Amino acid sequence: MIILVLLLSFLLKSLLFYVNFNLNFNSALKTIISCIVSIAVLVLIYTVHLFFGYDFTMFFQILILLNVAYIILIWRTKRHILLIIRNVKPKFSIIYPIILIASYFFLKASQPWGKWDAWAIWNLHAKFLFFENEWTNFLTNSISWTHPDYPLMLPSIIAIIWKSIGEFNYLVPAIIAYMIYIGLIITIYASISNKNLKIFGLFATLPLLFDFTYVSQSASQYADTLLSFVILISMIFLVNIKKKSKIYFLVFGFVASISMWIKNEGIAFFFLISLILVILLFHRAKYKLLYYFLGALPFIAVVVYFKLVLAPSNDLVEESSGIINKVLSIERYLIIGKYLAKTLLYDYPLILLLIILNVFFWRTIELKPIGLVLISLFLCYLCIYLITPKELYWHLKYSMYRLIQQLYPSFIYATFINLQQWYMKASVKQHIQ
Amino acid sequence: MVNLCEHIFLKMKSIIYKLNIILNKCSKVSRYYTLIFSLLTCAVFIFGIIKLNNKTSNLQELKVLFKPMESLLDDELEISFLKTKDTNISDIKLYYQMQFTLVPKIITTSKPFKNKIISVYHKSTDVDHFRFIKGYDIISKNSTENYRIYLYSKQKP
Repeated sequence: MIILVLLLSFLLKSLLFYVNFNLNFNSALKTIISCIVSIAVLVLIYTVHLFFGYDFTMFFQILILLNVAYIILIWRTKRHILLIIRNVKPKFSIIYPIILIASYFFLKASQPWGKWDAWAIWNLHAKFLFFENEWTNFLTNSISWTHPDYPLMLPSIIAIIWKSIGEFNYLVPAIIAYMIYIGLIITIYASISNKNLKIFGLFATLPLLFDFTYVSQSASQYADTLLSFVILISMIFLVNIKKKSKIYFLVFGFVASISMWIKNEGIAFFFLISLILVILLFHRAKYKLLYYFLGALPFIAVVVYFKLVLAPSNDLVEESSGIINKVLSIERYLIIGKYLAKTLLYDYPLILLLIILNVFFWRTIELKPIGLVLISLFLCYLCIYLITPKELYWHLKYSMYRLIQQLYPSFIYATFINLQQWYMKASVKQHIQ
Repeated sequence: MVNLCEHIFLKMKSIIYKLNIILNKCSKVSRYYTLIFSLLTCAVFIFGIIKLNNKTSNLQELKVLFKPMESLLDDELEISFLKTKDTNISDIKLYYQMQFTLVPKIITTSKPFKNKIISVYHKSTDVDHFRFIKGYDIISKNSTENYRIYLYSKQKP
């Protein structure tokens, strides 16, 4: 199974790299996007198999054949292989020591089966998905504490690997969390660094490295880090939408839609990013929007089927009452505001620094869509607190830090892209003077 | 104020410029450093995994089988208690007693029990959950501790 992910990633990366899809991403980013798309494809296949009982092995046999055919094809046209060998010149990059430090901090904070939500929700759901005939046993609200309505991306990844090794192993979720954390750091570095200005890439990785709240949360094996990873990649796609091909939008749609299958918050994110994209492109390039939604279609179908047919109702929706009174209560706004300020000040002080940097340097028009998505998504999260049927302090205490975790990498990305563009403009201005 | 900001911006720009030059010089060092750092990362990863394994073995597990329960329930049922080192024996006795009243109720509400295992975990116990079927909370009257009964399938896939 792991070999299949690697093979599929190689196939996809080769497609993105050699065929003219006008992606304009560097090799590291293409590798990461290929890996994510490959894993998402495997999860889709496994999900369809669970939902409808289609033969799992048949899908994989087709995929293996596809990969083998591709390798035979490039083997016959030896020029590709020579090109690959020539390109393999591992220059030293500052990212290597960064990965070393990140690995140390992450593994130090890691614990078997993760923290509460990891073993009570994500790893537990994975154990159900391991058994393809009885997996629906957990879809009941009598065990609402495990949130049976939560999407199944992370549990599916864990279950697929468990199935391939034939046992429940606590190392699998821990290693997946490690790969996601390292992938995030590489993505942040690769998306911000360019040939002449690597320093911004280095600076951007530092908050993820030395913010111990973030490291600890990443090591907790929660799905929030995976969601933050997909949100970050979607943001990178969003920043680079100018003059891009249809295939770019197809891949963009697919990647953005993965978020819906990770957490319920991902559904809000996908809705908002799609809305921004519709506003940006509706009058200029409707056909690109069509490709975007075409790419998103598989995960939209999976989420709709799961939510409408299989999953029990969400506890927040089921228990909600007196919404108007809650919205009109000034006290609730104050509680949420105070708790947010407290969380930022004590748990994520680096975010305050990034906010200050953004206030001074935010002059980049290209980043407005990112800013809009991030701010509107965070406001959506805060609105949920406003109308939550749960005890407000309890809800804030156990979820506020996780919501910040989801948006943290994208916020870092937006800040440092912004700073980089300010620096380049200032340099040009100084040069002219 | 505007002048001060401009001054800070210019200072920042020159610092960034100098740091970037240093970083570009770093990129020109021997590519063997790539290999060294990759090997070091692998070593840290392996060491971290070994350490993670040791963290598991710190968990003390106590498995107690209660024969009387078998007469009450299906022949293939067994009750096992898993606990952390912080839980004392009196706690276990406490919820064993509670189970006598709770378990028969579960049987009437859940699916057929053939080849199922009932386990009681302390809520804070960090353990593998095997094949979870249904869970019930038990809140002790004499203690502030909460327990939860889980039903698992004993069958292997």
